[in-house]
Amino acid sequence: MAETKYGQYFVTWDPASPRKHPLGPFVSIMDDTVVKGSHFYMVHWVMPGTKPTSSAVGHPPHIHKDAELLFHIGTDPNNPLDLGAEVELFMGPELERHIITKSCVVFIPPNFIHSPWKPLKTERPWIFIEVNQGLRHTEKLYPQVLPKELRDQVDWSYWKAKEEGFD
Amino acid sequence: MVYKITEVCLKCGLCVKQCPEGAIIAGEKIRTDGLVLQPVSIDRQKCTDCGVCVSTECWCPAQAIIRA
Repeated sequence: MAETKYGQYFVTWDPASPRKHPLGPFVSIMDDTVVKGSHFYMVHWVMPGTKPTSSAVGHPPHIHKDAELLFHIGTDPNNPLDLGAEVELFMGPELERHIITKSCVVFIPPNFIHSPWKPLKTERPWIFIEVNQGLRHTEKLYPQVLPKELRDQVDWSYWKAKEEGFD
Repeated sequence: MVYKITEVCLKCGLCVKQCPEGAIIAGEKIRTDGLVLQPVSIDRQKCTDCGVCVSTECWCPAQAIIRA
């Protein structure tokens, strides 16, 4: 759509992109490098029968420099508040456990330790939207808050490669 | 000493670069159980009691810095 004056503001996913999300198809990944001035957004479906990359733990504990919003959106038009899934999310360095079963938005303050985040069960496709309120995605891992038995099940080389913005 | 670092410190080292006075000092890194930890301490000569380190709830992810 870039041929038009404002077409650059309409961002969708290139199905030929080699980048895949393990939980379901991407809708969009945006930041300041895609559209000047845009904050970081990642939108993807979560499909039944899928597993996160670190299936034992999910996305391990981490922080971001900027506030983050995690949208969990169910797709049942007859019951839009039902997520159709169970998602486990731990909050804080104490790893306070929460189970998400309703469509909801989770606010993550800057520098707040959150995760593991992991869909435990998905009965119906739902949509996940991650909003980082900064121009670029930042992430710093906190493996030290995980018990050693869980820490040992994580492929840290995979997640370390995603750390950025805290040099 | 105006502020102190409590035992809930996760030794992540984030505060070293965030203190505007450079008053939080990185110690020797600790390697244990596959972790690389960064102990820190407060240099009382450099600390100006500016309060930045306790100014927002999540400045320190563990909220380990408190007024002494």
